Amino acid sequence: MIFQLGGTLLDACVLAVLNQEDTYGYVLTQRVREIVDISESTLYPVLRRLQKDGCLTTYDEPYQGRNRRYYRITELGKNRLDSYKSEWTDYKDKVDQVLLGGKRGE
Amino acid sequence: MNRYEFIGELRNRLKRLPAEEQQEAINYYEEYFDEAAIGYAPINLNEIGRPAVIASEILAQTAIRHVETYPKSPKSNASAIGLIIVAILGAPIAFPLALALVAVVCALIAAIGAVVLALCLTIVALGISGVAMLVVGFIKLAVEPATGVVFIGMAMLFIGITLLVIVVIQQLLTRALPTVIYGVRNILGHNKKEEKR
Repeated sequence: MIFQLGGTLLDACVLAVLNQEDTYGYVLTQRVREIVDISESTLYPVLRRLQKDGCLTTYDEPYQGRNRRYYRITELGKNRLDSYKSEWTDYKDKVDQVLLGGKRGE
Repeated sequence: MNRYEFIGELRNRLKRLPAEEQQEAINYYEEYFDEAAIGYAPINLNEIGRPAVIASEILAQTAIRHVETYPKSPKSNASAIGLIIVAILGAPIAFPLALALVAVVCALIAAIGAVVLALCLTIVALGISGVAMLVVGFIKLAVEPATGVVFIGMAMLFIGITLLVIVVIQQLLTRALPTVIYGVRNILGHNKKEEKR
């Protein structure tokens, strides 16, 4: 992917994946890496920040004698995801207008 | 670098955080390496990323949160500044930046030192010439009273300025300098205390 994605879009992607189902760090990272070119260790600071902001909670589940820490989106997180979605739609429309040559004001 | 060195470096760089925060970060990466079935073999840092970058990011977040939570406490500002400096210095690109910072500080100290030295020398010269003119004035007084009086007057002026400036310098040394030293020690001392925790 040649387009660079910034921090906010990364937040939005994490929230969107978690909005579908609760999951743990490894799977979350793989899902986000499908669309954003990040290194595998990048998500922890993002998750930590979203958790401190109250957008995520965590719970542990045992798996093969060790723990998996699952992340779950909160109501606040869902609200934030909604506002990201509408911002994204606005932005995408504007980019389409310029890049694909649509008409202004339609 | 293998996963154990990765965890070790991360732990080392997060030393300034509370113990449970360090542990949570380490647990996350231990779990991640387990899930990815990464063992003793060296890991590909281009894929995984560097612990220094992660630690920088976490420390920067902590500093920002600190300032936002207690905006008006100078103590929290000092420790936030400390965290920010550590966060910047921890980043891999930081070495040239740190070098530049040290150079700037050295240049600043040298410049201040030069100004102070020049001031002191000027005052010494002024004092010496004042005393010399006083002597000349008294000698001239017998031969040419008017010239003698002018010399004595100028001598008094020089000596007066010298004494005044000496008082100012003395005040600066006894009052301003301890304040500066105290301030610097406050920032550094506070950080040291946090590191030990």
